[in-house]
Amino acid sequence: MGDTSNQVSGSRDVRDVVEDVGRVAETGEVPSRIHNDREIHEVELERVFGEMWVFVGHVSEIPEPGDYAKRYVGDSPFIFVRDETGEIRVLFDSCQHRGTTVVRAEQGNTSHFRCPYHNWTYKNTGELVGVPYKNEFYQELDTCEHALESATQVDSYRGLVFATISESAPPLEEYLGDFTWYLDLNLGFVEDGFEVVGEPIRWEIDTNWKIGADNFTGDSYHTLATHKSAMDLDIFPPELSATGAERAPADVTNCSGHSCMLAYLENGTLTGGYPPEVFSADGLSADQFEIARGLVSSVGTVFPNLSFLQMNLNADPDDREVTAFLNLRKWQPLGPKKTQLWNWILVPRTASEEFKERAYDTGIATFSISGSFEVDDFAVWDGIAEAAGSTYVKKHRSTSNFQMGVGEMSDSADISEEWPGPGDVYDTNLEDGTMRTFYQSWYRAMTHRRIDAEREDAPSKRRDRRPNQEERR
Amino acid sequence: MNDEHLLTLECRQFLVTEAELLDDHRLHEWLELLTDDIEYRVPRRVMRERGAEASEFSDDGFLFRDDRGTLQTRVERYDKEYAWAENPPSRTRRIVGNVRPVERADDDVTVKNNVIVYRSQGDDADHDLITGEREDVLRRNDDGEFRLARRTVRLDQTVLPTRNLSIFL
Ligand code: FES
Ligand SMILES: [Fe+2]
Repeated sequence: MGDTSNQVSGSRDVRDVVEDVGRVAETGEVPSRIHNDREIHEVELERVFGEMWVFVGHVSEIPEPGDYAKRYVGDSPFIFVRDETGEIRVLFDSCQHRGTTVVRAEQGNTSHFRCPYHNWTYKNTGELVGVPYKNEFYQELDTCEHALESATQVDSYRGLVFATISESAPPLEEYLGDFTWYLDLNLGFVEDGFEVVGEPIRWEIDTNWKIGADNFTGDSYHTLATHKSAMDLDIFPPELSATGAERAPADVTNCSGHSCMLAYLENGTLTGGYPPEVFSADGLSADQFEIARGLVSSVGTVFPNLSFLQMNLNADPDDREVTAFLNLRKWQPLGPKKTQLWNWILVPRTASEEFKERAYDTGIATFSISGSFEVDDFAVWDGIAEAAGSTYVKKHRSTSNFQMGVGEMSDSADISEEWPGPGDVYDTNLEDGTMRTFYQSWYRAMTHRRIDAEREDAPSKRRDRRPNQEERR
Repeated sequence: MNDEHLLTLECRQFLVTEAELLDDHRLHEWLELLTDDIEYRVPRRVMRERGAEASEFSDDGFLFRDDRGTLQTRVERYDKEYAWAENPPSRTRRIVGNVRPVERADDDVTVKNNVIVYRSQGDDADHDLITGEREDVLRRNDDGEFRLARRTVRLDQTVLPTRNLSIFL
């Protein structure tokens, strides 16, 4: 099988499974096995995490020259650093001498990275500036050739820094495509944007990374069941939830390969979650700004593994007020049944300290490791991977159902024509098109296509791909 | 027994009783052991270089930063059948040790102690182990009984090896 084939690598079995995912738009089903399979995981590392743009961090995490944080693109270690000139870099964390990682801390500030093995020393630009005994034993070594390598492409959008280790990935702007309309809407309605509070909370769960990523495209159906207790207690006021009458819902599917859901109060009615003074119309269209002002809840996934969430929640309904915050989430694959979560809470930069604190507290009390929403998700998601990895699932080719909104299942309407933004948009949050988009993109990535079907005519150049293990066999 | 010993014993007794309530899922009784102005915090631990200026325990990042009201809300949620994280409930065992009062002021005693929380829940032999040092402020109420007025849990983990924290530390 050739390098440039659109077929997925791997055994015939796995190829069939992936091809089945490719029909998700019509069938509304995906083989359960994709949620826990060693071989699929390995192909994903190469074709999804090795070819797509992956979120690294937010600019506000490294405000000062020398600030750095250790980050990962798939399983590859990187240093997310602001160099002494103020430029943000994403450097492969592997010494140019014998390859060990030069960063051992999670984050910090330094002008230089010194390798612990033989003490080669790099500036925070990546430049190699120190080689012990160079004049004696390494006289012909050209230090210019041995800078820490940058990720193949690095770019940012509205403060979100992404990197890809692929030479053939399209530029970030093109990769995000029309979905920038929704990123603008979610990030751009406050003056000066958002800032991260504290450090991302990290923890590990026994499930597949895709479960969280698909859920965060907009599984409003589960909110009513999994999160019933949070709604019963008004942590998520029921009038704001998917069954609430006041809110105008929209599910955004097929948006350059990404998807999201949102619900908002019409006519720009404020929800009260953010203080009125943080809003700023600059940089958004009138339509975007009106939706953003009334945003009740909003979740989405930038394929493959960056999700965002904005909700109006209350950590203590008796004594506190409904509060909004921006949550960023990265689903880092550690194995077919092991995911490391990275959770950031962001607040509007110009908000008062009092509000920032309340917003952060609301964020961690609802959407984090101890959050009253999330703790229940994690209790459920382990089970998906457990069953998906079983012999029964293989033998019986069990499937997972994403059929809400397929065919005549429901009377949701396509409102793309009158909707001001891009994508195929539906007038409900109770449909699975956002998740079908996610799996469609996964299928396209796994078969080496651009995730954006509309750019299929512009196939990526595929240079210098090394065959993976299956192909070498 | 001198005052010092007596105080240590008294603190130990409080913490052991508290752990028992948590292990037995008697969360409403646990709430009664807290003062109305309790500050309950679990800062995010960050792996930093030796000698780094910033503390390993974050000033701004937290796994919990709760007051009485938010703790109460959490407890009320666990009463619900649909609170899946604790249905079925976690099986926990808290071992509290190295109890050492470090400061006394008026009605307050600051007591450091170490905690190991064993937790299992699934249908297998796996378990989570969460460990840390707690710095607690115990305050005497009008009856001279201790109540927990402040807790800071300094965890040993930076990346938590547990799917969620639907338990109290
Ligand atoms: S491996 Fe880094 S100096 Fe040798
Ligand atoms: Fe959820």
